[in-house]
Amino acid sequence: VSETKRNAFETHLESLDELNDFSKRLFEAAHPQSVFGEPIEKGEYTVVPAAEVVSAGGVGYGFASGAGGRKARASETERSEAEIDPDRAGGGGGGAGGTSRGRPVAVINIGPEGIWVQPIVDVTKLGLAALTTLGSMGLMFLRMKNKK
Amino acid sequence: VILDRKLNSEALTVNGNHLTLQSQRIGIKHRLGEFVWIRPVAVLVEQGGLVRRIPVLDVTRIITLLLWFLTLYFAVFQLGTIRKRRNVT
Repeated sequence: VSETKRNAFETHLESLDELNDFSKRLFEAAHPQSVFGEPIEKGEYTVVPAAEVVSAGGVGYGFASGAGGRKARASETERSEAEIDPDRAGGGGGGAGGTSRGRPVAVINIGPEGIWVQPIVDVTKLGLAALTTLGSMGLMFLRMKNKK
Repeated sequence: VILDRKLNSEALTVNGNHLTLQSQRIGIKHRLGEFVWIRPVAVLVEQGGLVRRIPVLDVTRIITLLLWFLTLYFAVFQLGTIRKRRNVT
């Protein structure tokens, strides 16, 4: 194996290691400990925040090798199968992408009255969903009106 | 590979209450990618030898899903009316 081919192969392996590291770091956020936060004490009350965590990611890579390029010194007419350098061709590439996000879900309250769970309502998310529903309802009523 | 596991945290002692926080991990693992969703499920409270389970409800998700189902219902209804009109004409 030529030096060029070996170097190219080592570069690919390094890239794959980097992709694996990226993947590991991405999914570190999706750890069970990240769902419940540290208890926060304030007087007689203690609060434990709870959140959901979603992580998704993917990697892709590919390698290819060819029969090699023809030697540069050879003229057009001199080129033959014997002059093809098989060790000089080859390549590869890879890519990775991912996302990790968290959303507060509830707060666990511990106080003299007892233990209770207080939900956290994401008004923005609900507002957007409500707008979509209202839009589809509006379209339906328009169609019904036109039918009459 | 789809993984679905219930996970219990280490027991916490707060104001004399022994709490265990329960979460659920749902994951899809593939050679080229992964998806992980971890959500809080419940709080287990141990008092006097009795274990009480307090569920952690995700109100935002419940309402969002209801709204999505409503949207889907209206969309299906509209498609139905369009098909009926086409059949009449």
